[in-house]
Amino acid sequence: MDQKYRDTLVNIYRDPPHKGKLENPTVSARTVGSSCGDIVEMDLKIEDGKITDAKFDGALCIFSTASASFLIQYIIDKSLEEAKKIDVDELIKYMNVYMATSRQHCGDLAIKALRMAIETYENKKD
Amino acid sequence: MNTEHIKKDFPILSTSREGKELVYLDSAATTQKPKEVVEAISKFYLESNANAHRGTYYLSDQATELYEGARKKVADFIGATSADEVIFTKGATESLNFVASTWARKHIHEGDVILTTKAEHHSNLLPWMQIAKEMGAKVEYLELDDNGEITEKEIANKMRSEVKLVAVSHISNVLGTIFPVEDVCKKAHEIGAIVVVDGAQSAPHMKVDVKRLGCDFYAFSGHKMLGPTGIGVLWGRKELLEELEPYQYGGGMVGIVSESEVTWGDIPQRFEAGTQNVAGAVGLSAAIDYLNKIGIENIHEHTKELTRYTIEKLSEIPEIRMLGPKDEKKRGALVSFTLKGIHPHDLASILDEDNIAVRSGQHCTMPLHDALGIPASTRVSFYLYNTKTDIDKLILGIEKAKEILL
Repeated sequence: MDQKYRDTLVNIYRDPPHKGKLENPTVSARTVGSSCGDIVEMDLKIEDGKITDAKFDGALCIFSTASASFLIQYIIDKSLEEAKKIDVDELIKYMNVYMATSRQHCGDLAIKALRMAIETYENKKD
Repeated sequence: MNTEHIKKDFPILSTSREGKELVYLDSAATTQKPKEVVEAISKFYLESNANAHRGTYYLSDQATELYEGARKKVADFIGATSADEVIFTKGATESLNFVASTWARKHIHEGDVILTTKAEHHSNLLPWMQIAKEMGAKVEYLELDDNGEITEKEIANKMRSEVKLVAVSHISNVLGTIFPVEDVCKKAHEIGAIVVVDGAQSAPHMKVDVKRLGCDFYAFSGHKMLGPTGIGVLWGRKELLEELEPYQYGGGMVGIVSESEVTWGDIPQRFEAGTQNVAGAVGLSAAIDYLNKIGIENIHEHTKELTRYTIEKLSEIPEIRMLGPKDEKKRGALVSFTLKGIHPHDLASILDEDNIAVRSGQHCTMPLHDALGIPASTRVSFYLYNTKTDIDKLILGIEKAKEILL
């Protein structure tokens, strides 16, 4: 891991913003990383087609934690359509860190949980 | 296109046996390899070797990036919408068997029809015969006309509602015919069937755009397009791939595994169990770079002219019967023929005395040879490194065989 990015990531890892559980989530989803076993649980609060609040929880590595934390920072106040659009490349850009090829799946984990939650919500609504 | 210059990139083509330089006329079986491809493979093993998609360290990332870079390159080469639609296999044979084992096993039922042609290579015939037998389905054939072509009328006649899958080669490996795949796809889709295209002879020789062809699966081999053996491709439409179960089971293709449950990974990893042929993918990528550098259209023009020249020269030998269309615009880069009074194997052996390599036999197409009423044939096939001098040497070799055996 590059020293330049390590400090940012470690700081977030120690005290990650948006970590925990929402009291009354509109929808929740859970994903497990296939090669690492990391678990992300994602709670979303959705009002008028917009994500008004979100939290993540789980047993996660530094990259997964930081990605989940940044992802939530990014999606709050965004419409579901906008939130669905973000992919791992964009998230890494947003985080302004370097993520080696073999760690990009860590960044993807929270995105998968987010998409799954939105999908569950949309299916329920139908 | 400077063939003499290109030839220098292929060290094997400057080798000689008993003072006779190699004349390689069997590229439809496998092509020779340029230095660039061999060096890319060697460089990978010497500098970047690690298990792709496994390690959390620099070298493994290098291997993953090379492997996935090759997938992207293949996708661009055949006009795929996304690299996720490209599955690496051992070759066209495995690619076609893949479709039989996954899509066909799921969707072919008793009473259904798998439609193919009389000209198929066994690799695009036996998987369908086998799956038809297993499922109680039937294999039917598009017949060829006297020119070795399939008419629009024949296609329309054979498309009935029982047809669920059509398996057709883009270019026949014996007749050389370029089959009307776009028309087949259009008519097949009208009746709700899918189309699997064996592109083993087309991907190396002409600009292929899977979207324009309109097919559902497209299979080809790396070794027939300057790449190494043991690497091939199956392209499939994303919607179709996404609903398929895995083809093999093992490492790297799962979502979550517990003692009693398993979920599958995303495409294409779902279909690539176990450590993959990374060096092969790297070699194929280098081969595509080489083909792009020369230009696939230029290669097509060059081999078309060689085909025209060969047809012209062979026509002058009265004992020769050529197979397939006479018009080189309707054909790929090969010409098969029989020589009255001389068995193809004997002709090939006599040519081999002069270090001329051709293919003789049935070329894995027994039903086609039955339909043509011949036991076997001789095939010459070309690629970017062949010249008219190669054909002239072939003609001299045929004359020599006639002197010895007729």
